[in-house]
Amino acid sequence: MALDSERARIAHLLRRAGFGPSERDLTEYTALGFDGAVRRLVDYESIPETPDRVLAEEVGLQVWWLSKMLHTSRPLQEKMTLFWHGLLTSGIQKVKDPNAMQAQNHLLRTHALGQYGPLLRAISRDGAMIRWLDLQTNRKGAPNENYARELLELFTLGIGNYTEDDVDEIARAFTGWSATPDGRFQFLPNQHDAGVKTILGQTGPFDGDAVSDILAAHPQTARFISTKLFRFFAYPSPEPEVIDRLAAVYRQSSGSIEAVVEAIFRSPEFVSERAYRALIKSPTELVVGALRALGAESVPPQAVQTMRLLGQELFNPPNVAGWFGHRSWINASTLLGRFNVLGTLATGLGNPNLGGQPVPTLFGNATSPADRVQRVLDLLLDGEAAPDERDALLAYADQARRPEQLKGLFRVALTLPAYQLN
Amino acid sequence: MHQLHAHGWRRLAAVGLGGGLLLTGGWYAYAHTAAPDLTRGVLAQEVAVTLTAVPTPEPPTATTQTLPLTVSPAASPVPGQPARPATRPAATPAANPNSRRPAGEVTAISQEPASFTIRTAAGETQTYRVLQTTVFAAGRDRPYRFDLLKVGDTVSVATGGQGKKQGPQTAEPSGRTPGQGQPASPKPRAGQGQGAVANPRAAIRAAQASGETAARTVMVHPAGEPARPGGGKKSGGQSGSGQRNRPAPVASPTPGLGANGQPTTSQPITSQTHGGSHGTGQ
Repeated sequence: MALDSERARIAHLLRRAGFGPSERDLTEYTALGFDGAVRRLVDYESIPETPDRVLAEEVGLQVWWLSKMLHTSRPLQEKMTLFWHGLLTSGIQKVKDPNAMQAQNHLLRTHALGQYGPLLRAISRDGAMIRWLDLQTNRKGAPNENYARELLELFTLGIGNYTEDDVDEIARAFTGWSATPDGRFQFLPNQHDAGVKTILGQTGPFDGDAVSDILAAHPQTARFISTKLFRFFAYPSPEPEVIDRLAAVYRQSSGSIEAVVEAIFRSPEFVSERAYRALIKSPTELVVGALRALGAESVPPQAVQTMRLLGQELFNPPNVAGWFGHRSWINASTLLGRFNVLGTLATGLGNPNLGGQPVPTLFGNATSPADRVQRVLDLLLDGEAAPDERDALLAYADQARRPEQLKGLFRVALTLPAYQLN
Repeated sequence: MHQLHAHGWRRLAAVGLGGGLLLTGGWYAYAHTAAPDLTRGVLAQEVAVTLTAVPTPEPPTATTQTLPLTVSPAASPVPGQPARPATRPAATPAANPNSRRPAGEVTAISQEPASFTIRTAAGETQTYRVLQTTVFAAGRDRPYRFDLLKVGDTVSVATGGQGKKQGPQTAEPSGRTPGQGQPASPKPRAGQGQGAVANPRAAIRAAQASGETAARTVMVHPAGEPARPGGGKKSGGQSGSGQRNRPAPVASPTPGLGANGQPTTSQPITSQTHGGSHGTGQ
């Protein structure tokens, strides 16, 4: 069993609740124990936020956000921001305003573990979302149903749990919701249909805020969001009883995302064998995780281009449903791309531009080939490898002498199948 | 003779077509290899970096030789912060005098009222008023701000249009406040606190009265930054769009759920353009 030690469970937790641990992270969180580590991750408001190392105005949104992920003292907050970015998503290709996209990113971060109702209200007023789903063209007498439909299908209830009439009525409730050219919410009262609507069995003169509250409180939303979160943090096919349990937590906490996420981390399923290495790392997780594990200080700008080739360009999802994820991350093309980017990062170890520790420091006191292999596995793979993989690493380490050659040991370990998994 | 003549034309046409294809292919190959990325140079050595082919501990340097992780240090605008990687190449606005988006070099900047003046390639000068709603950007995914603009920057300006589709005068823009809508931006928006006018329509009228034009969006290429190959157009990697074409909903035998989990009267939607397993699965 791969999660039979406290240290292994905490490494697993840090991969899921964050982007993978650095060696220092793992030591610090292990000292807290599993429960303490969960508490520290969830209660991130008590930890000072890490100042930005780079500005989006200088390096672009993607490198800016990747840098935040790399350096954050609140890994769960950034991971939740990434989760919401894939669920309540918008894309720069249509929004065409990086300022509005950054504002949405801040919004998702602010509400990362809050109540779902206020988050729905806020995202419905977000300038990038309004432009992405055409809310600004939703007017009294000529409603545009795009936002209403996605609100039901992608954000709350899921297909099969609402009717076409619900879509129509919700579109009416959001009429007059618009945004200024610079992305600030703007309510146009003359464009708003203030009449009575019937939505999911409730009748009243609802507006967008009221709809957000109705939907957030709906029992199906509890199941929908619990399922999304569990699939994101634990494994892809949760058992119905697990979702029942999490949905109950959602309802009892009035839609607290924090309560549901903490319940997932503390569930036996989260540290079960079924969960261990059960998720394929997204390109974001892959790149940021490798940078953290290798002790890098900065994000190479080329990583953005590579991530696009690997199927994930942040701030530009493929469609309104975000990234499909899971098995779609790996195919014959992206696997080779993964090996390339990881190899480039490994061979960049100690490079002053990438930052990080020089190779001899990373190896610590390990001088024999066997010790060096174990050291690399400890840093990257919880110290574990299949016998044939370990033999191959040993064969390489036996002949590696120079620091440049020793970097290759990291490179080979990063291409192991297990490293592609979270 | 006629047949020979026709045959000659055919041959000429074939040669011309072949030449055209060669030129097009050459251009395509150049255009798609001009921008460096981390996966260039995918050679046999790359594939060899697997467990089945690692008997010799030669460092796998093929990729890094072609794609060094080289970034130039840049001065930090944040006091106390370490130097950061060099800025990414930004789009260079085309200096086309006939463009609907006039482009030129910034020659003057005023804070009160917020405006800037450019000189176009044709030598003309034009002053643009910066409104609270003016959007600045320095690339597709690179936000920018008026207070970062400096003399010598190259800009492309889209003008007018503010308020035209924003409905009646009774519109109520709201500020970005956490919990109410958008979170407070950590940085001031374009023009905020710099003499920008709050009411876009009034500002447009004021600008027109003074012979100035209001800027709607400003694409900036900061001075001193290298131009992006390809004239500033960044290729989109994926086809994002918020709009989907949807088929008519199909009724399901299962009733929809009401607010309390009770069935509703009308039929639920069960068929859409994509299935229910939407990924958030990064």
